[in-house]
Amino acid sequence: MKHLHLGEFEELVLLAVCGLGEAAYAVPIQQRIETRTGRAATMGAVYAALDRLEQKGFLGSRLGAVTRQRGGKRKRFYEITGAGLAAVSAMRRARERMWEGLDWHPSLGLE
Amino acid sequence: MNPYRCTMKTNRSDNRQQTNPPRAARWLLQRLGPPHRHAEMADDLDALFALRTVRFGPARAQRLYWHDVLSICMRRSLHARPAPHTFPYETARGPIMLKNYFKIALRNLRRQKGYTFINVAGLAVGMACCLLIVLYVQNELAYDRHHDHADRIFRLTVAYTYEGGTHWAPIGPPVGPAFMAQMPEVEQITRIFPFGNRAVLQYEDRQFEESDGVYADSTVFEVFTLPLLRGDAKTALAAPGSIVLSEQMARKYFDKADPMGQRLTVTGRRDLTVTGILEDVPSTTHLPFDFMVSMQTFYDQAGDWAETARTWAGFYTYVLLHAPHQAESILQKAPVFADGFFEGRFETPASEVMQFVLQPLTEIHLHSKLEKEYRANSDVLYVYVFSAIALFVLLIACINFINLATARAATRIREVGVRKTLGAGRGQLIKQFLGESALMTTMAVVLAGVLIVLWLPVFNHLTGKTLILADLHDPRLLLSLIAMALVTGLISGAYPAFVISGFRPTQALRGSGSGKATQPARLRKGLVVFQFAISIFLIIGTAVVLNQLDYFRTKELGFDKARVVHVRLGGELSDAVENNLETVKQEVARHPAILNASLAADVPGERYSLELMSIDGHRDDEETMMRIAWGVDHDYLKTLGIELAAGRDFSREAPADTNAWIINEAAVRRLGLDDALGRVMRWGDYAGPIVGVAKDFHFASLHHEIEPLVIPLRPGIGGMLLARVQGGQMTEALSFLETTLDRLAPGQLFRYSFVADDFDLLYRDEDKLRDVFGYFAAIAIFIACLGLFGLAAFTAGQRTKEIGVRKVLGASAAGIVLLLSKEFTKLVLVAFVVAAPLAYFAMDRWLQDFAYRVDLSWPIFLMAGLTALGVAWLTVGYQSIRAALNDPVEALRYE
Repeated sequence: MKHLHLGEFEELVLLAVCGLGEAAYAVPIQQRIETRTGRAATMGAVYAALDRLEQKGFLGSRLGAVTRQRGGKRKRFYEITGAGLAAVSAMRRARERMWEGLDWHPSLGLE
Repeated sequence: MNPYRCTMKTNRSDNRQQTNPPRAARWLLQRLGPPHRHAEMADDLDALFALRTVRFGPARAQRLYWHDVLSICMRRSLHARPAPHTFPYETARGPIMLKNYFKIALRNLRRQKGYTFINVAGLAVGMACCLLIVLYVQNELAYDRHHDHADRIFRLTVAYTYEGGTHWAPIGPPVGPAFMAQMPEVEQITRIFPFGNRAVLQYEDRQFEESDGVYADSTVFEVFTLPLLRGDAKTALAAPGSIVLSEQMARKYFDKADPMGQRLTVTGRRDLTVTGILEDVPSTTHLPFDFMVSMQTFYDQAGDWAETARTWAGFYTYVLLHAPHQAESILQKAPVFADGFFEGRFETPASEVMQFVLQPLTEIHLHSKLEKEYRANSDVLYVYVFSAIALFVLLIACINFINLATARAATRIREVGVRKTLGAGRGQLIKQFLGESALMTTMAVVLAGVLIVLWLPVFNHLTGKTLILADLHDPRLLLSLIAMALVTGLISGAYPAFVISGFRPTQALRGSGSGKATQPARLRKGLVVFQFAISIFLIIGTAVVLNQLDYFRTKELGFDKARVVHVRLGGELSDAVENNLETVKQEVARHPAILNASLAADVPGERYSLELMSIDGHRDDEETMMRIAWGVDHDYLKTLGIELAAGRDFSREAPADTNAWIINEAAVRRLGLDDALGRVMRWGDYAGPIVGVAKDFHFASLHHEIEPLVIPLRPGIGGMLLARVQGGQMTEALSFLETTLDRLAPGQLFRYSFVADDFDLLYRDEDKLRDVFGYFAAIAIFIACLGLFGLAAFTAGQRTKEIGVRKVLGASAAGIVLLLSKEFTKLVLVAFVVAAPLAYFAMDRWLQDFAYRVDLSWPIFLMAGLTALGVAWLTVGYQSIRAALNDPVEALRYE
């Protein structure tokens, strides 16, 4: 379990979980990704990414309380673990270092 | 805090009636989604659907719903059920487990050495056979394709269209040039004429008999692709007396010396100057030759005659067209050309009695069977038959392999049980079984490679080809071989892998659960019958061919075949003998070992030419085609031991015999003469009385009825010295002949052969067929035995318990062997019943080709049946005896 790579989509899911806090379960996670990045994400992909992140130890999950809205079924809520936090911040630092010294200029082909 | 929950609530109440998620998608999720999670997912998707309906409208929400369902169903990782508990074995992936598989696989193979060997060998034999045949077929299809313009080259031939007319391969010498002059579509023509059989060429002290030479037009290099290593293609064959040698032939005569400009002597005829060295002609051509002599050389000798011989079937004429499709338009114009060109030669316009045919060069080898071919061609039928055999052999070998492997696997149910109890997953077992069969097929491929290397010389001898392994370089071929091995491995591993690994451990450990195997058993029986039927067919075939060949070789031919030797004369030797004919003959015949000697041009066993004969005042002088023995002297009949039915032999005492004939009984019958003796027979300008009628003797092969033969007396022009030798003194006679002839013309090649050997050569095709039949019979029997062995092993395993019970109840070992063998005996008998009539019809049809043949007798069939039965018993015997001798306690213990 040494090289736990964080995939690009996994990173988005992880950040969505961070952003949603208490309310992080599959549906809002998908919605957040879709609205904020503007790209379509299928539920299959979301589930798979959540499974993977949990396997890698970046996410923890718990079953929520029984509510009436879902006919008595429970939702699975996710929260980020220490390892997950370390992974996203490492990724962010890496990104920032890569961006250092680059100007926002059309000629670079960067919006 | 949480906007999603609110939206969801309103949505549900507002829109439930209007739009629902697509029901089919929901059902699909339920059926194909991960079983332990689909309920939870369905709820999530519903919530999402509600949100999307508000935002995008129902249509798009439905589409996205479908999208999501499919994305879930198709994602394998979501289906994995979390393992409830894990044994250490299952997690021990990687090298440790791999090593274990490998060890077990090798152990299994080693423990059952016999089985492993038989199974691997069977598959290897099948693959090797198949590949060899592929090599053969490839070679057959490659004929004459190496020429750059192969698709534009055609052979111009002439077919006589009247009843009984012949389609000749060669045509008259002047036809080609005239044809080209009138047909603008023809780019170039070239003509080939055989240099003459058995010419002797000499350079200094080296002389060899050459039979593969041609006269060729200088355009031969423009039409065909014949790369010259030395010399100039434009001029090499221009001048009379020039010769172009193949590389091999140049080495034979000149070794390392430079052959260019050297002079080769055609003994007794003339000198030829080497003007070029040709790259050796590939063996895949219908027109093989070792050297080419310029056409002008031929014309110098033949003179004007050749230019007027319009209907003589002499020159093989090849035309190069500007485009392949022009062949048709040319043939439409051909009748007009024929009428003009042959004007005056026939009573009717030429186009009514003959037509020109253009044969594509690349089809000559497999499709052309004309009169007077350059060499006897092959037949496309062989390509089909061999391809079918290759597929068959391979298929059967694969099926046998699969059968044997599954039969073996049934005995490993217990191992599977143990592995499962220890925590092996199904996937691991599947991998293990597939891996084992892949290991075996790999071994088979390697062994097949070894077999091919070993068998190639035998196969080359059999097919008369010079195939080499490099011909297999085609990557597609190798890839398909590897693919074949993989597929066989997969299929044969699949049954144990998927069926046995599916047993529950308790079931597997109890050793039951093989009840489903009756279906494969029936299939196996069918296969055994099929394979034995083929074997029996081939055994019968081999036996019949052997019988017929024996008959060919021992049948009385009507003359003394065994004791006549003939010496081929040529060049100076020919002149020396012909000038002193009587003295030489007397000197030769004086030796005690030699009974008679004769000089002639034709001996039995070689092809006598066909000529038109007529009898004066008989049937309006109608001409009849008859064979003629040329250049015969007074002692010909005596030397060969031919008996007379009427009249007398040629006599030195009768001077009128200078133009006399002796004809055989068949000729008398053909002519319908009551009083043949004394009638005057005419052959062109040559006419004389018939003085004797010879009893029919076989001067040609026994394929055909004895043809009408006429023998004119023409002493002193033969090319062969015949001698009848006292029995048992052949060596002395030969050495005496050699010294005598060497004294007459020193330093000439002494070339002799026995008439009996010449006759043997006439049955080369049958010899080859015997070999092919024999080898295939051996292979078929081997493969059939494999099938039988698999079946026997399988049934013996199935009936272990039954046999145990029988023994406990008092059955004897012999009784049990009988019980087990009975079943297989039945199968072989069924195979015999299938094969015997087929073999009878096929071989009867084959024998119809021979005018003189053996009868199909029942002992052959009996022998074939008994052989098959014997082999079957031997194969099964081992298994049955082992099963019968087993301790019943062993067999019954596991119940």
